[in-house]
Amino acid sequence: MPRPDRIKWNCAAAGYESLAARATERRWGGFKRDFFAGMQGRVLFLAAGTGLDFQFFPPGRRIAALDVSERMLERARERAANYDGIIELHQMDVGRLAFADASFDQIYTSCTFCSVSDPLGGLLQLRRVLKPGGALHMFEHTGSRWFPFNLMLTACTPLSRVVGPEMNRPTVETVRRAGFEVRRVTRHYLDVLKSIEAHKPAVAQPR
Amino acid sequence: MPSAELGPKTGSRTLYLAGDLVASAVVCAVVAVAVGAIVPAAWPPWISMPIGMIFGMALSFPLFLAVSPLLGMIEPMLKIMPGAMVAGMAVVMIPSPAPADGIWALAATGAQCGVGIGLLVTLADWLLRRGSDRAEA
Repeated sequence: MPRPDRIKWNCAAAGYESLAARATERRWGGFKRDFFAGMQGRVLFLAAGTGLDFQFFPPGRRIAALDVSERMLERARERAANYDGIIELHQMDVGRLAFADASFDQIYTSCTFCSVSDPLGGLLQLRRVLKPGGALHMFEHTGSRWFPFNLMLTACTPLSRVVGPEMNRPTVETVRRAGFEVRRVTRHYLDVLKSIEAHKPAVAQPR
Repeated sequence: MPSAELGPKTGSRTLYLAGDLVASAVVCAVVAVAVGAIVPAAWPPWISMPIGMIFGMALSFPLFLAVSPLLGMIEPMLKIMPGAMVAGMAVVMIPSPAPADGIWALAATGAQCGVGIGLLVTLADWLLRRGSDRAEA
């Protein structure tokens, strides 16, 4: 039985930056700066982790950043304080968001939905808190459509999900199932990484 | 569905590619030596090759985690693990080398697989990206 997300990421918090994050952030830094450059209005960012992504945010924005792990957020606090704008940190599960309906103009995720245990439930929550016509921007690693990488990622997933993410999720399809209009999918690196731009329909559609 | 190049600009990208290939060579050399020690040479190829491939992939995962703090996660993994799978298969095909040369022969085979497959993966990424761009246009 998989461990709850909070416990898993609390356990991972101590080694997260040195093992998984620093080199990856250096490598993807230029791309992430461009990815976050469009932040405007009231923005929700998940999952904040230790706040490594804050350095790539454009200055002067007001951003609600959440993470399921309080230990990750302890490490993010100083980075949030150093941001040239306002970052409010919240410890929250994406499946149970404590925000009112239609609270945000934009939502950004960065390598998040590989790790959320109920991705469809989480995306339905995001749809709820996003204003009609609001944008969801995701940068996610997903399954690849190319052999043998799809096979390899599927083979790695039973091991990787114990310590962190799942490697083979059909995230674009899940975004559609949650009722978003997918406007643009940009594939990076053998289709394993994708940036997704989706919108909540301006006219409410029944789910 | 457009595609895009991820990561740093050309100079740094070359440096990262070199780093990935060196890591792939080292990891695959270690994998090859381990698989060579585990899989009996007397087994027929139709048994030893798939077992070598599975061992290669399984052994490369912790080794990849050890180098990931220097290189990052996704791109190095997608170069190293296929290299290790091929190294695990290739190494069982080496006709039993002399004991004194055995480890080095296995390691050299593994390192060649690591670099070769790493370059092929890089080429595949480049070709697929170009193909997608053309389809998009």
